[in-house]
Amino acid sequence: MRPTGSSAARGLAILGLALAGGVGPETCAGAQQAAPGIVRLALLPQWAVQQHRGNGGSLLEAIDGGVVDRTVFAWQRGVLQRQALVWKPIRLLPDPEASALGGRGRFSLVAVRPPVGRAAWTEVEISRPAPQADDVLLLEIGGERNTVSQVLETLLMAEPARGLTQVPLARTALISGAGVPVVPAPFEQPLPPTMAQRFREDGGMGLLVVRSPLWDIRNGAVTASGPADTVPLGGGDWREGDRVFLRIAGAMLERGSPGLVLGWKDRTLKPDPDTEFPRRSALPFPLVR
Amino acid sequence: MKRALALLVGGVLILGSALAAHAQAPTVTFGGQMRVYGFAFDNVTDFRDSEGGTFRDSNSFYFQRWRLFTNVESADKKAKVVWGIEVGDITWGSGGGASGAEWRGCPGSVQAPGTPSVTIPPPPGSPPGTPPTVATVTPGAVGSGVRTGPSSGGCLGADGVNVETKHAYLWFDTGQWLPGSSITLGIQSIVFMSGPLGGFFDEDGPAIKVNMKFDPVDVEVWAAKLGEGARPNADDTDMYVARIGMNATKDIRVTLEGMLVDEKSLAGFNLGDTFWVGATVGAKIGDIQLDGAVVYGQRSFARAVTAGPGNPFDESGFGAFLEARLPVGPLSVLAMGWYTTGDDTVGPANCVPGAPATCDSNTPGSARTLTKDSDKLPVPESGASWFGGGAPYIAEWLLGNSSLGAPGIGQVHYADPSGTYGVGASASYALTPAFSVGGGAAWVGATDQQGPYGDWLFEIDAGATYRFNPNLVFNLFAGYMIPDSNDEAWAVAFRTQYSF
Repeated sequence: MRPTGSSAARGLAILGLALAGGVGPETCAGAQQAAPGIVRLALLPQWAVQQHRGNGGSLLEAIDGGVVDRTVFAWQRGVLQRQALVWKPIRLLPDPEASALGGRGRFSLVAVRPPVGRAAWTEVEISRPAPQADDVLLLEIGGERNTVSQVLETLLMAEPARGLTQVPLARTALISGAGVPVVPAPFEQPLPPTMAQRFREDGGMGLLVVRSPLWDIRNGAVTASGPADTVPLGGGDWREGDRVFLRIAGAMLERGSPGLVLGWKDRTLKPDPDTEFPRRSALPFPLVR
Repeated sequence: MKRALALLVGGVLILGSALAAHAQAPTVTFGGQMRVYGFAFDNVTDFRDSEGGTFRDSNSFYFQRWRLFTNVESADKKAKVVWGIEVGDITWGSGGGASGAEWRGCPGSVQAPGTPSVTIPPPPGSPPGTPPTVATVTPGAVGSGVRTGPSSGGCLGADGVNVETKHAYLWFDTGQWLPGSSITLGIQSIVFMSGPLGGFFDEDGPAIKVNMKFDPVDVEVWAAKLGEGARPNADDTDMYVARIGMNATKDIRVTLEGMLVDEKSLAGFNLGDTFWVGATVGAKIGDIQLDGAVVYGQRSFARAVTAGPGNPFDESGFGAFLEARLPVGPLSVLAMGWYTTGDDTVGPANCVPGAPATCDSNTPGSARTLTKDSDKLPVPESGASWFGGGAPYIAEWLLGNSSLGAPGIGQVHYADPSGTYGVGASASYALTPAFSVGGGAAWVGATDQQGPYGDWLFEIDAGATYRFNPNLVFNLFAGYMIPDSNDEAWAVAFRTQYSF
């Protein structure tokens, strides 16, 4: 079972810091350092998004102050079960990965503050040791191997006075559609520089979703928490989680970027029919009456 | 001299540093599943109540399966090898054990349940088309000391010598030669026409597979060796598959696929006699996910002795399904319909006319014979077609328990499901993020010749799924079947599955 409360907070903070590649020295930078910026993320199971379908207001209320330490049933809107909140690694892209995708300047990850109390927001605190006007931050969310919550299904943006607005996702296609591109790229490998052009600008930030180059079937399965994607081929690739890349200008970070709500659903391995199991009907005698 | 020495030292240092850079250790990761099942059922194989010692298919038992996949990936992530091993399926109280003779009723592995006979291939040099010999296995000694072989070690003491190799293959990224491409060599998953219901053909086998992804188009081609006969090439069987997939729009994906089998071991066979071609489409319209597929297949079978000499007969037909998944309030609803062609001389489960029909789904495909050409959609192997498993809560006990990983418990229809049509609908309700319940109903009809249930069967299913944690899931599942003829059937099962 997942740890909750203070131990969860400590765990995620450690995870976030551990993943902040090459940022140590900058944290002690001098007087020029700008005020830290905060990126707010709500990492939810898609089940919670479905639970509040048609009522974005109550979902936002739930994210802002509805996290509870008990079981939440589907008909109970405005609350989120803490144990169901999704955990994802969060990484500040170091150079040369960041610069290849349009990143500029120096950033350091000060802290990742997981949801505590009643709010479901994970706060990623970023500082700029030597701020420049053209600084651009690159953050990566996800990219872990997992048996649940691998697939980004819903992306919502929380802006002051606008509430939650859905940002569509768009798989690469012959006739491309509007939305944040979902592009295939090998797991655990830096993105090629050509991906820098694929980010979609929305709410003052660039967004890109990267999925392992699997042939997956959308909503081809049902798990304990509802519809899930399925992969027809064996091996372990089905566990590879999506990666969400955020590109945020330093100035935007300072002003306060919109909060992002990420709804994650499961991906399963489609079991192959296996006739190895003995055909008991072929027995010339009954084993058990 | 000094200059030459300096150059040499410099060269060694450069070479040494280069070697050090390339000497990083590969990364080893593991994945797999451990499953434990329990089943209890009555009449699901013959739809007949017991009568004077016959039609006895009331049963209850447990079995388990352990699969471990070891991935060894090079430091540059451009190559890896995968070894997948399987221990199982071990039926509890079967397959012998170190202390298996302490109590009666523990059969040794030479008499594993359900394998009362073995098929012996024709000896080398036999004329093409010589059928295999089927021999009855003499029941083995009670348990102790007889615990070597697949699925062994289910009795007291366990200690079965029972590890099988499921997968063993090499993968490497050929992107440096052709961007977006990779090659897989070895014993691996081979799938033809996959969809939400599974693959029309879904197996593991030795193959060479080439994948190319030129987003939004992807191409997969593979060749598998199904039979390396006794003669050089003249009696081999090879399978060739190609798939072209394309994301037409962000919400529509289509594929065109073909599978050609060169079964040279069948006397009178010509290349092109056995093939399947088809297309799949997946589309998301609003909240509705639509999936469909159509396939046409033709397969050559040897002539029955009664049909006299001549070329093989062909079985050829088509099949299609359409499935819709949509949210309705808090429910996830699934509705589907399918049709596969049948024939008046052979029906699902290889049933032939009679009162009642005589069914024989245990005869392997290559050993089947025909008395004339058939219009039934041929299946490439036992359990193939999309309906060797079915969809969640839709005729699962007839079609093979997709919700439980499609284990099949001896349902004759599961082995040979074409020659049917049907409709079904189901709904699941995730009460909490970790617990859901569901149920469904389906009506299955025999397209032409009757199945083991007569002309039709109605089935209702219900179940519950609980996720204990991200790795461990419990399923409870039950069904009730009402056949057109003969007697009703019921079944209940649980599954515990740990995935990692």
